[in-house]
Amino acid sequence: MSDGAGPIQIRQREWPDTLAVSGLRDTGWRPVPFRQFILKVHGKCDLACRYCYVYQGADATWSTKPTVMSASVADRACDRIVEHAAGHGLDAVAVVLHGGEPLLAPQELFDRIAHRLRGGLPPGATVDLRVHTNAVSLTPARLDALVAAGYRLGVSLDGDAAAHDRGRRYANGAGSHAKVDRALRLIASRPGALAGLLCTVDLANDPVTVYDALVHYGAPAIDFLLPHGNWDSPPPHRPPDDSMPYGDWLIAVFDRWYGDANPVDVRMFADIMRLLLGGASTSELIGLSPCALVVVDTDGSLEQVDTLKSAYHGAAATGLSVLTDSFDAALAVPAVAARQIGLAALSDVCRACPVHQVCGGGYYPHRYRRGAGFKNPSVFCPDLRRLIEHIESRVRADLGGVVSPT
Amino acid sequence: MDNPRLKKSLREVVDQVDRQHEIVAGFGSAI
Repeated sequence: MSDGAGPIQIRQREWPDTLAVSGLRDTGWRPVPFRQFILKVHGKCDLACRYCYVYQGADATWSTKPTVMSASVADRACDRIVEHAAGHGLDAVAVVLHGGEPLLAPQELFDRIAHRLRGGLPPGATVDLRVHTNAVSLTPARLDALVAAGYRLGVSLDGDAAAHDRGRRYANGAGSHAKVDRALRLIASRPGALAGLLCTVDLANDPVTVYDALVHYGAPAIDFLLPHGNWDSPPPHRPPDDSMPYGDWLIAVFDRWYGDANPVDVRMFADIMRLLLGGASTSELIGLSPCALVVVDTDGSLEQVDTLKSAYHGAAATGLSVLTDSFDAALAVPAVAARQIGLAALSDVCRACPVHQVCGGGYYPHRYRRGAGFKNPSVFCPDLRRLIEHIESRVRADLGGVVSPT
Repeated sequence: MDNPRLKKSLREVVDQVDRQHEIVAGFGSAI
C-alpha cells in the first residue's frame, strides 16, 4: 500500500527509465544547468479546482509531505541554488514560490528566502523572484510585504466570472472569481507587481470572452495552459481521434491576439511564432529547448514539474533531496535528462511530422502512455498541429513579398 | 509585415541569435 494513497500499481520500466545518461555523455552531450527553481512553500490549497492535477490526479504524494516548508529546508534550498549558480557561472536565476497555495505560507518565509538568495549569490548575479498564487487570500498588507521583498505575482485566472468559476472553486462549490478580481485590482495599484496571468483552457468557455477578460487586468503576459491528461487519461473532450477542439479554441484566441494592439505577451503564441521564424522556445509548453527548471517540495525533495503527476503516482519524483543532494545530481536523473535532449526525446511518429521542430512533441506530461512512457506524440497532437499550421499561414501571409518561401 | 506581433517576434529571433546564449525553457505554469 502507498502512504494512504491506495494500492500502488506496478509500473514496468518505460521510457525514459531506460535512458542511459552516461551513454549520452559519451556522445558529447552535456546537461544544461537549472536556471529556474520552483519552491513549493505550502503543500495545501484553499481552493479545490475541478481540474487540479495535484489533488485530483493520479499522484497523491502531496498527502505525505509537510504542509509548510520549514525554515531549515528553505535555507538549504537557497544554499543549493547559490551553489548551483556559482558552480555553473550563472548570472541570473529565477525562483518561483509555488504550492499548493504559496500565500498560505507565512510572509516571514518569503522574506527569509529573498534575503538568503540575495545574500548568497555571487556579485553581479541576479535573482528574479516570483510567486504564483490563486490570489484569493491576498491582502493589502501581504501585497506590500511581497513587493517590498522584491516578488512579482503570477495569478491564476480562467476568464470572466462565469468562465473562472466553472473550474476554480472552493471545496464547498463556491466560485473564487470575486476574490481574484478584487486581488487583481489591488495588484494593479502597484505598478510592476503583476507578472502575468495563467489561464487553464476550458472548452465550455468562449475563447474570445476569456481573452478579453484576461487582457482587462493589464497583465504583461498571459499563459494558456491546456488541461492535463495523457493517452491513458485523456483530457476533457479530447477523444483519441483527429478532432481538434483545443486547436480551434486556441486559434480563436490567437486571431484576437494577433490583431490586437494590446502589448500583452501570450507565451504559447509568441513561442510558436519565434519557432516558425527560426528561433527557440522559452517555455516548456512547446518547442525543443532544454527544460532548465526543477522543483523543491515542502520536505526538500527534488522533483520534476508536478504537472507530471497527472501521469501516474510518483511520476515527478527523482529520489533526491536538497538536504543530501546537489542540483547537479538531479541533472543526471534520466527523467530530467530526457527533457534536455531535444529531438532524441521524440517518438518516430513525431520525427516524421513536418511541424515537430515547432511543437517539440508537445508538453511532456501530455505524451504519457502506460507501457511506452513519454516517447509518444502529445495527446493534443491534432490540436497543436492545427494551431501551428494556422499561425504559420497567418505569418506567411504577412511576410509575403518580404521573405521568399523556402 | 505591418503586424506589431510579427515585428516583435522577428526582433526577438534576431536577439536570440545575437546573444548566442543557450535558450532554455522555463516553467509553463508560472509567468
